[in-house]
Amino acid sequence: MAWYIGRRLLQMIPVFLGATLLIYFMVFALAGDPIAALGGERGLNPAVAAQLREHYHLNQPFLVQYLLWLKGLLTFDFGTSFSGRPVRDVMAGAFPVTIQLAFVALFFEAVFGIAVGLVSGLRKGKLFDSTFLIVSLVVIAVPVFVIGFTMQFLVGVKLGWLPPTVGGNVNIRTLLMPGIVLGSVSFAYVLRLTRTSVAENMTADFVRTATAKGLTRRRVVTVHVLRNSLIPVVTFLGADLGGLMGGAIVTEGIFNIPGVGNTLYHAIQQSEAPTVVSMVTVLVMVYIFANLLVDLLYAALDPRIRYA
Amino acid sequence: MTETTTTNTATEPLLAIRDLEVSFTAAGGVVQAVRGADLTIYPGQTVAIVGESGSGKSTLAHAIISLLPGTGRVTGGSIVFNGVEVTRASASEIVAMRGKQIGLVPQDPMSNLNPVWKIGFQVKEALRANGIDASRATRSTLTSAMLHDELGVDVAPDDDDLYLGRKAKAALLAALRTAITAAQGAEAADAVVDRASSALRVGATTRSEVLTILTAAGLPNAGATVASHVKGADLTDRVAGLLSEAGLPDAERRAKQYPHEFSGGMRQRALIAIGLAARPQLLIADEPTSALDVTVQRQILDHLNGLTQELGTAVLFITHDLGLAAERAEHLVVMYRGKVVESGPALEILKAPKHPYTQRLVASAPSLASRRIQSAKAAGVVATDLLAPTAGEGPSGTADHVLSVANLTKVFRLRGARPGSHTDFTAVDDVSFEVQRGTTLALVGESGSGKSTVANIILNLIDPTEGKVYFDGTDMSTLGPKDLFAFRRRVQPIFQNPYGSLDPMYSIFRTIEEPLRTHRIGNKASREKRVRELLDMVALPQTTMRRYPNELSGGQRQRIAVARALALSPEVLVCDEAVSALDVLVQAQILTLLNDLQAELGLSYLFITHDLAVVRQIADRVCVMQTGKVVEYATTDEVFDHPQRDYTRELLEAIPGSKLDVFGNASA
Repeated sequence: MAWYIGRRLLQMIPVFLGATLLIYFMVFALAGDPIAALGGERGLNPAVAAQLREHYHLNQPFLVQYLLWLKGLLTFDFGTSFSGRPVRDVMAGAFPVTIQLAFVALFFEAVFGIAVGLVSGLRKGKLFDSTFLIVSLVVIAVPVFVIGFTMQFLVGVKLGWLPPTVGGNVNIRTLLMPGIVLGSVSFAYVLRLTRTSVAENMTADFVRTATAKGLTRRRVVTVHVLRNSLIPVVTFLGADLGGLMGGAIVTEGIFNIPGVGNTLYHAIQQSEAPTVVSMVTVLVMVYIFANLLVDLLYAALDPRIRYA
Repeated sequence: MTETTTTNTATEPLLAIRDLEVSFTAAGGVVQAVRGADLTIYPGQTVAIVGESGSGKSTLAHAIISLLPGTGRVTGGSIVFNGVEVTRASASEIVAMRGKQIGLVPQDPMSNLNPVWKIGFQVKEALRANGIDASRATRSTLTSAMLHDELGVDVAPDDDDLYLGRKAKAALLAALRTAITAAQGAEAADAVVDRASSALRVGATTRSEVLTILTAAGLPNAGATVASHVKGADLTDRVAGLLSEAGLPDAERRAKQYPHEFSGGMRQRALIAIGLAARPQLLIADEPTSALDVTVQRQILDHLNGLTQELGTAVLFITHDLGLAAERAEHLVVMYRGKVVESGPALEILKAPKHPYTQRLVASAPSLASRRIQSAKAAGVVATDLLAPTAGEGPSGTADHVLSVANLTKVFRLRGARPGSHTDFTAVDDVSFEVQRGTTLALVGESGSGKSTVANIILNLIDPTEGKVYFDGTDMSTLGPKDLFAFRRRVQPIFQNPYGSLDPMYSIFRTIEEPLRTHRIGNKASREKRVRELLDMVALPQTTMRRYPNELSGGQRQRIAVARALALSPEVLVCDEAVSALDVLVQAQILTLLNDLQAELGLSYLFITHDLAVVRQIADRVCVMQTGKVVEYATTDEVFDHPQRDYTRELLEAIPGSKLDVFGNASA
C-alpha cells in the first residue's frame, strides 16, 4: 500500500511539470500585449511600460519566464498580479470561498442523490421512481445557467427565501442556493447511479442468501445492498469533488461569488500569466489528489481491491 | 402419491406441499413454472428433487421460504410447514421462519456471499437475526421432541451443553501444559498440548466433550478445572465453531477473512455453516455442489450428510444429477416441466422408472459402467468429399499423430507486494501427449490442474514458456502470422458456456458464417449453403439461422457452437468443458453428436473435462493432470479399470452414483 501511494505521488511530478508548461505556454500565446492594455486609451509612458515589462520578465524568452516562475514557486512565491497584489493573497482569498461552495454542492448531491436513488432502486418502475427519473433527465438536459437564473429569480427575488447573490457576504446561508445549483447535475447522476446499482444488487444471489438467513428487509437493504451499491457512487463523488473545486465559473458568475472561478475568469481576460498559471496549477494538483483519494477509498470500500 | 419411506410414518409431516402452482408474469404473458406439485417431507428425512434446468425444481424450493424471484407468485395450492400455511403467512412470520426453521444452502458459492463483508460477520448475522443463544448447544427440535416423548419431562438446560470459549481454551491448554510438564517433561507436554489443541474446537466442543478430551490427555482433576473454565461461548467463538463444524480448518482465523480469500469449496462450507447456524428443522440444499470439482463435491456432501444426520435436520436436496440424488437421499421426486412425474424410494425409481422421462434420465445418466458411445454411422461412412478432410490425407505424411505436445511448460509471473518482486507460478509443468488422428484424447483434472492452460497453448492463444506443440508434424512456434492464420482454420475450439461464447447481437447465421467470411471462403450464396449444411449436420432446423442466441436453449446453443467450429472443416476440435454446463439428457445428445461427427468427418478431439463419467463415453485415451503435471496417461479402459495413481482413484470414486448397484448392473 505504501509503495502504491509513493508511486502515485511520484507520478505527480511529470504531470505537474507538463501541466504548468502547457498552461504557461497558452497564456503566453494569448493575443495582445497585457502591458499596453493596462494603459487603456491614453497609453503608457514608454519608460513605465519598459519598467513593468522588466518587472514581470515579459521581455525575456518564454522558457526563461517559465523557469523564473518555477524558481519562485520553490519559495512559495507565486509572483504578483498586475494590480500589485501577491498571487498568493489572491488565491488565499478565492480558494476558501470555493471550498465552502464545493462542499455545500457535494453534501447536497451525495445526501439527496443517494437517498432518492435508494428509494427509486427499491421501487423500480413505480411512481416515485418514474417521477425522479424524469426530474433527473430534465436537470441533466437543461444548462446550468438556466437552472441558476431561474432559481435566483424565483427563490431569491420573487419569494425572497434566500439572498439572490453572495458578493462579499460568504456564509452557508448565502451559499446554499448556489451550492444546490452547482450540485444539481451531479445530483441527477448520483441518483441514477445509485438507482441502477441498488436495483442490480437487489437481485444478487448474496442478497437472497441474506434474506434466507432470516434478516429483516431493513437490515438486508442497509447492510447488504446499500454498502455494495455505494462503491461506484463514492467513486463518482470523489472525482466530482475535484471538478467542483475549480469548475464553477458559470455558477460563481451568476451569484457573484468571489471564488476561484470568478477570479480565474478575470485573470484570463487580463492575460495575467502568474495568476492564471498558479491557480490552474493548484487545481490540477487538487484534481490529482482527489483521484488518489478515490482510488484509496475504493480499496477501503471493496476488500477485493488491493493495490500493490 | 402417498408414500413414506422413513421410520417416521407415525409423525406428522414437517412439510406438506399440495397442488402447488407458481407462475411468473413475463412480457408475453403468464408462464407457469410449477404446475400442481406435491411433496411431503417428514422430520429428519432426506428428499431429493431431480430434474433438468427449467423443470421448476428450484422455483418449488424457493416458494417454500417465499423467496421467489421477480414476478414469481404462488397462484394455487398450499405449502404447510409445521402446521403453518406458508402461502398465507404474514411477512414477519416468514422472516421469523427463514433461517430459524428453514435454512438454505444456495447453488453457487461464488455469488452467494457478500464480497464486502468478512465471512465471520456473515455467519454471525445468521445467529443474531434468529436470536440464537451462542453459549450452548441447541438441541434440534427433533431431539428435544424425542427426549420429551421418551422421558415425558421437559429437559432443562444442562451445563454440559456449554460451548468452549476461546479464552477458556487458552487457559485449559496452559493448565494442561503445566500439569504434563511437571509429570513427563516439556517435550511430552508439547505433543500432548498440540493434540488437545486440535481436538478442542472453540465454539463447537461442549463441556462434556472437553472433559473427555482433557481427561484422556491426562489432566489431573479435570472435572473441576473444566467446570471452572468452560462458561459458554460468545458469538465470535460460536461463529468459529459453526465454521469448523462445517469442515473448515483453522476456523478462528478464517472467520476474519473475506470471501475472495476462500476457494469455492471453502465458501460452500461457509454457506453450509450459515444455513445450519440457527439449527433449522429443514435445510433446503439447492444444487449445493454443482459448481465444485467432483472430489470437493464428495467431501462436502459427506460432511453435510453427517452433520444433518447428527442434528436430525430434514434435507430437501435439489439436483439435476440422478446419481447424486440416489446416493444422498432415501426418497426421490422427479420433476419435469413443472410437474412431479414420479416419486418414491430412490433405489426403486432407479431400478424401475415408470415415467418415460425418468426412464430417459436413468438411461442417459453417465456412470462408470457406461461404455464409449458407438456411432450408428461408424460402419458405413458416407461423407461428402467436400466436407471430409479424412484420415490419411495429412500433407506431411505423419498421418498418425495429428497433434503432439512435447514437454510443455507454462510459468506465470505473479506480481508481488513490492515493486519488482514477483513469484513464479507453474501452471503447466512438463506436459507431453499425442492425439491420434480420428480419435479423442481426454484431458482430465480438477480446476487449477492446468488443463485449460494447455488448451489455450494448443489454440495458440498464449505462448508456452518451454516446450513445443506440433500440429501435423509442424512446430507451431515457427509459424509466421500468415501460417498461423491458416493453422487456425484447422484447429477450432468449443467452449464451456454456450451462453457466453455466442455473441448475443449476432444472428445464428452470422455466427456460423463469420469464420467463413474471415477466411474469405466462397461467395455469399455458397456460404449460405454451407451454413444450411452445418445446421443439418448438428440436427437443427435450417430456420434456426434467422434466430438469435437468446431464443435458443442451452443444448441448442451448444449445437450452434459445434456448427460454428465445424464451419471451416477443421481437423482438430478442442472442447474445453464443452458439455459440463448442460443437463444430462442434453449432454448425452451433444456427446452422441460429437461422436457421429467424428466418425463421419474423421475429426480428432482434445476433450477437456473434470467429469470422468463423460470421459468414459467419448474418449479413447485419457491424460490425467494434477497441479500442472501429467500423472496418468493411458487408454480409457486402462485408466478406468486399473487406475495407477491414488489421485485417479479418488477422481473415479467421486463420480456420483459410482457406488450404486443399479448403474453397475446396467452396463450397455
